[in-house]
Amino acid sequence: MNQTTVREYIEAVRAGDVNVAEFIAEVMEKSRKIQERYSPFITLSEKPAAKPTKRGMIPGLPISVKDCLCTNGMRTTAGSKILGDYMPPFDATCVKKAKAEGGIIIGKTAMDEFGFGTFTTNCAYGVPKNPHDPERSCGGSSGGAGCITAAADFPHVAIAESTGGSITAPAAFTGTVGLTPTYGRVSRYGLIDYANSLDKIGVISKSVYDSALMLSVMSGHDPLDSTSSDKASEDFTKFEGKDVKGMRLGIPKEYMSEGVDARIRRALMAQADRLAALGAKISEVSLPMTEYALPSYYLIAISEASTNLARYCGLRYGMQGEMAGMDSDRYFSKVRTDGFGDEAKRRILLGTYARMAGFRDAYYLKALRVRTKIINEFKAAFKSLDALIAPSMPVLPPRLSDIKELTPIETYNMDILTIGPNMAGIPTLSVPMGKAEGLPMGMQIIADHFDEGKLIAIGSSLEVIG
Amino acid sequence: MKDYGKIDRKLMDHICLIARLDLSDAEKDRYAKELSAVLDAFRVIEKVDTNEEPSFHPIPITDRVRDDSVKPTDWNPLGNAKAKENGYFKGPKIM
Repeated sequence: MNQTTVREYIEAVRAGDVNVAEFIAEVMEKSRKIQERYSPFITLSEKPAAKPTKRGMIPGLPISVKDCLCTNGMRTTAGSKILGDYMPPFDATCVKKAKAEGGIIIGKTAMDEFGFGTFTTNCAYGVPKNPHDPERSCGGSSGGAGCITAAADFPHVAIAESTGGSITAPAAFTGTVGLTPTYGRVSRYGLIDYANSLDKIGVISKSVYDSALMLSVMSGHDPLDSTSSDKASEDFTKFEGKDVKGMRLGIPKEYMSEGVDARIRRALMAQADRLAALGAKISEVSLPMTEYALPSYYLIAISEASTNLARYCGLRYGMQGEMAGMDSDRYFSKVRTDGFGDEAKRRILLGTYARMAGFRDAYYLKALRVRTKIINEFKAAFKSLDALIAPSMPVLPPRLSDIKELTPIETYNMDILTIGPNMAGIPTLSVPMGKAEGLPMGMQIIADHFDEGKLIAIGSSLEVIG
Repeated sequence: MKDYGKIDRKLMDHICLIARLDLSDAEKDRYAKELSAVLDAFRVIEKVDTNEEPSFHPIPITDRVRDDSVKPTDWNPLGNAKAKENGYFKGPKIM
């Protein structure tokens, strides 16, 4: 049962060929060993399979959940010390749906504090190590999700989340599949917000089918999230293996610049050749607004983040200190200063500044206008193209020791290829595209809003031909 | 756009006050330097000619309202609070 695919496992559970309780006990034992070796989890489940079922879309399937998503009665920290003992009294909608369809939560995965990072190194609870080379990063901020997906030798799917590339980066660095759906496709209810207008809940998995299946489980309108789309959920697995013949695919030249590792660019062109051999029509396109995506993204993200993080003040939940002898301002400042890590403080300060009277128009509102131009540019491209293909990340997974030497702006620049689509809220699928020096590389497929089906068709066609 | 992106000590003190972060002098100096470098790099967006409306969301979002009705709840709102008294959250002294 260990090397079985998700699809085979679910069939076996439905047929009654698996003792789910025993299998999950085995999975938990393995997860503990993986935890000792690579640290993908912040919290492991204690009693994961209380009531296994044969019904639903994912009966008995082991699911890991990024730690920014609320799980009823299970510690949820968002990777921050300030939420160190937070026990949500409810499940996030995506978690609720996964459980209702038979999924079994095995643990909460490691992440950069509140999602603030590209390498899952801004962590209050341990840094996950890349199973392909433990001295290197898993990518971030959903690094734990990429780590457990790569390390698990059992059927499993990770629920992850992306604000500016937090699914694509770990998928590329760990050689896994990462699906970032259209903004609003999956309810954000129960997500500990980073940036409300950018956050998207998605999947990291071993295969495109697994991601498509999990999107089918999680998507659909939710009255509890006012930004969730009206689109009903559908069976996204039906797009797997759909013919890509005649599809028009563009390679944005700005995503293939000198700043992208030459080995990664070569691998991308080899993937393009494979797609052309399957009958897709490949062309080069230009997205000149790419240059402005990164600064405008960060200005929007930090402005929203600093507002969201204002709620952590040592009252009601999360870190709480001694109040005696302190006035409210001193108390709030003390808890926040003790509870937030370095990058969280940096982003709070930056965001506070960008929203201050006198600067708001120049930074925050200007960035929102640039976003309109970026969205329009993608929309114009999709009038004549079915999808875009590009490298997922500009570099191979870096060494954890090298990451420490990067300045904040050098770190932010690592997001250069993922920011544009995330700003525009359009869906992307990162699929493995071979290795260089034994390290995985990823290709991202980018489509128009709500065109996840095309991503699944294109991504799965590459799996078939290897 | 002069003075934008320049964070001196006085401005840093003000930002820390608004953000409710109690930083040491050395931390304030370090963050001020880092923030100035980041904002300087971000100034590139000034070059973009923007007559467009701002996109507060990536897809059109319409306001949705629900009935403001009382519904039963099966969880304890005080469950995560350490400071509480007589069924209320307890906070620090305001005045």
